[in-house]
Formats: sequence, C-alpha cells, structure tokens
Amino acid sequence: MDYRKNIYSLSLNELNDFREAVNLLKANGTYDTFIERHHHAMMHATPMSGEPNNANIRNAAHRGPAFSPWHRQELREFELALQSVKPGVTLPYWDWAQDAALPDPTAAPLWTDAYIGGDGAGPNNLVPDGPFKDWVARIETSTGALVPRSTPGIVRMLGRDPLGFPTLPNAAEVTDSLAEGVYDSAPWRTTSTPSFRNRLEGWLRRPAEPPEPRMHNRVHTWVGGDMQPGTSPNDPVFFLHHCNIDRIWAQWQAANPGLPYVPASGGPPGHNATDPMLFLEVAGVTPNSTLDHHAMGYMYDTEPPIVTQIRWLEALAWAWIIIIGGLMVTPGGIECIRCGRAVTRVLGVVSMALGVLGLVSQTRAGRAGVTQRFTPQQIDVKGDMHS
Amino acid sequence: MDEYPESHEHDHSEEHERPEGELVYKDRQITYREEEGGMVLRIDGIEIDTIARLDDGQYHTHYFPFRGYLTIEALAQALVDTEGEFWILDRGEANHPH
Repeated sequence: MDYRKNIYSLSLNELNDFREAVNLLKANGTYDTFIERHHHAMMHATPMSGEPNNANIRNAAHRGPAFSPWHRQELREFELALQSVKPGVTLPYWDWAQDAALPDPTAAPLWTDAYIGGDGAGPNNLVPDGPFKDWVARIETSTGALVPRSTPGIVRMLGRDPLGFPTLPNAAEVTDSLAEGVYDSAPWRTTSTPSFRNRLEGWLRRPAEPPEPRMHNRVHTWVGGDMQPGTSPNDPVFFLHHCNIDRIWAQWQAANPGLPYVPASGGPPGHNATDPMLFLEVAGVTPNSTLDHHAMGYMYDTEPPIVTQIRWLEALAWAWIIIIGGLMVTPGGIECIRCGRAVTRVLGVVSMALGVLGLVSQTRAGRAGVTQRFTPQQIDVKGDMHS
Repeated sequence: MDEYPESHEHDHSEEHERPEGELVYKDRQITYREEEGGMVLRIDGIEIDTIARLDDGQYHTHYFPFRGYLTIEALAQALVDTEGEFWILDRGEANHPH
C-alpha cells in the first residue's frame, strides 16, 4: 500500500527522490504524455443527447461526474510511472487550504528551491530556481497540436496572474464542499446542484459569492501561468494540487459510505459509472473501478481509521511481548524446563524491557511522521540534501 | 483580480441578443459569430475556438478552462494577450479541427 503524505511531511530523502523521479520522467519523455492526455481529454466534448458538441460544456475529464475518477486514475498512473524510475516514491499532496491560512501564501515553503521552485520572475515570469526550472513546456497551437514553447522554463504568477485570482481556497471552503449530500446530479455539468463534484471542481458557488472560480479551479488560477491552460500539467504542482483534490474526494467518500457514484447510467458518455474513461494510459478504466482508492494501491496520511488500525496492531505486538515477559517473571507462569527459573526470569525481564522500548519507539516515530518538516536552509541551491 | 473591470458593467442580456460582433485589440482583428454548438471566435480571420456561453452567463474557452469570462470581448482579449506564451496562432491552417 503506497502511503501519500503532505509534501511538508516528506523526509529529506523522500522529497529528493520525488523531485528526482519527476525529472527522470521529464527526461525520458513520459512526463509529456501526461500533458498530452490531459489536453486531449480537455478538448474532447462528451455531449448528452440534445446538447451541443462543445468541450466547454463538458469534456472527457472536466465539467462532469468523471472529473474525480479521471484524475484519480491519472494520478495513479503518474505515481506508478514515478515508481518505475525510482522505486518507493509516492505522490505527495499540497494542502493549499493549509497555506491559505498563512499571512502570505506565496511565501510558503512549497515555493522555494527546496521544494518545487519559486514564483516566476523576470519579464516572462519564469520559475527561477528549483528542480524543474529548465523544463520546456508544451503549448497548444490553434490547430490543437502541442509544440514545445520556444522559451525554456515554467511560467508561474502566484496570486498575481492577470487571468487569475488572488486568493487560495481556505479550510472553510473545503469543509463546505465536504458537506454536499450527493456526489453529482443532472444535468451533469457546471450547473449541477447539489453536487459534491461540482463544488469540488469549483463551478458551484453560493448565491452571495462573486462569479469567480472556486476550489480546484481557483487553485489553478491562483498559481497562474502554465497552470491556467489545458496544458496545466506542464507545471508539476498540477500533480500535487490534484493529489489534494483526490484526498478531499477520499474524505468525502469515507464520510458518506452510503452515497454512490452517479450517474450509474443514462448520463453523458464517459461519465457513467461503467463507461470506459478516455485518454488515460490504461484503457477500459471506468469510474467504478476508481471508487476504492485502497484497492488501487494507495492511502493518505489523513485517513485515521486505517492508520489507527495499523498502529494498534503494532502496539498490540509490542504489548504481547510485554505480557509474555511478564508471565516469565511471574511465579507459576511460564518457566523453561531446561533453562530453569532464574534464566527464564532474566529472559522475561529482557522481553518486557524490549516490549516497552518498542512501544515507546513506535509511538514516538508515529508522532514524528506526522509532524516532520524541514526548512529550505537544509537543502542547498542544487537541490541536494544536507545531512 | 479581474483584469477587465469593465466586464462587470456589461449588460449580459443585451449581449445575448448579439450573436456576432467584432473588435480590434492590439492590432488584432477579432470576430465572433454564433453557430450551431456555440460561438466561433476568429483572430485575424483564423478560427481558433468554439466558445460556450454557459448558464452562469459567462463565456468559456478550452484555452483557459478553469474560469469563465463575463464578456466575450474580455475572453478574446485574454487570448490575444497570451498568444505565443500559452498557445500559438497557427497561420498555416485555416480551420480549427475542433
């Protein structure tokens, strides 16, 4: 089971491995296939009967129910690709609502050389540092083809893109989204309400809210630059962002186990529960086949039931050793026939001590795992880790 | 951060009755015309996209798919401003395949 963490909880080695794996995929051409598939999905209209054939109304991966499952499968394919070049790497998520609470979200550690590079600078707003700064983006022509951009570099304009919006979604907006009582509803597009999917994607807003993108859409427009077009996977933050979107969907699923994915049938092509989704690497994947992310092979560090269960099992194993040790030192308990009472009691004391040590170590390691952070100063300008 | 503040003052109901129009922005000739399936946008005579005006009254383009625009003029200006950076006008092709 792959364990997806908050990017700020990665160890130095984990972060370094992730950055290296992403760069390896870019170098061998695999990364760009994810840009192409996302772009093609964006261009492919999925009209219902009577609707215009227009990808802005709904397409293979957006503005419809398949938004969440399509991206879940895309992320898993990306994660497996990362593991093909760097075994053990898992996809981290960027909890943007956490950064939204900062006085200045653009100063968050994510936007530093230590993580994924900073805000764009200079006349072209190119990312000046970090592990991906020299990447060549692929952009669309008016004929629909993708070509390399003539100027190397990733464009970012955090909270200041003239085509974007200046704030990130906050924790209250995430909570509001999680309160939606159905996954989606007809007409299965940007006007669907009630709809968890539509609120998560960012088209649905409260009557008093301004006509601006929210949630998922808002984050794309806040990062700005290369995150604005349909070729948004050009910026690797795309995957960190969508990993967080997927985590929120997993939270909603866990909180609403009785609420199914809809539509089961009768909806737009490619969006029904058993329709094959288009433009993914693996053919034939349906929304239904993505509903159990544990079955897909990963989990999030914010899933308390399973994490708790694992920790309880570990604690139980250490406790068992303590109990056995206790029986060995107890008169009338366990006594080795060949070793005799004295040796058994010594072994019992050692066993109990080991058990207590294990239990304490496990508890401390568990706490460290959810609080571990490091600062940009721990990593030099080339992205190499300081010991 | 809306770069087109005039968009907020636009009368959408009046605009909806205008199925076609044209404007010049940064020396680029922009035309739009309502056709079956949406509104076709051309820059310097080259068809680049089929715009949808969705139920929220905003205009949407697949070039910038995570937001809508309050007017088609604002959308067209955004495309002109970003041409060459995020997309390329292919003058070798007269028709957009989509």
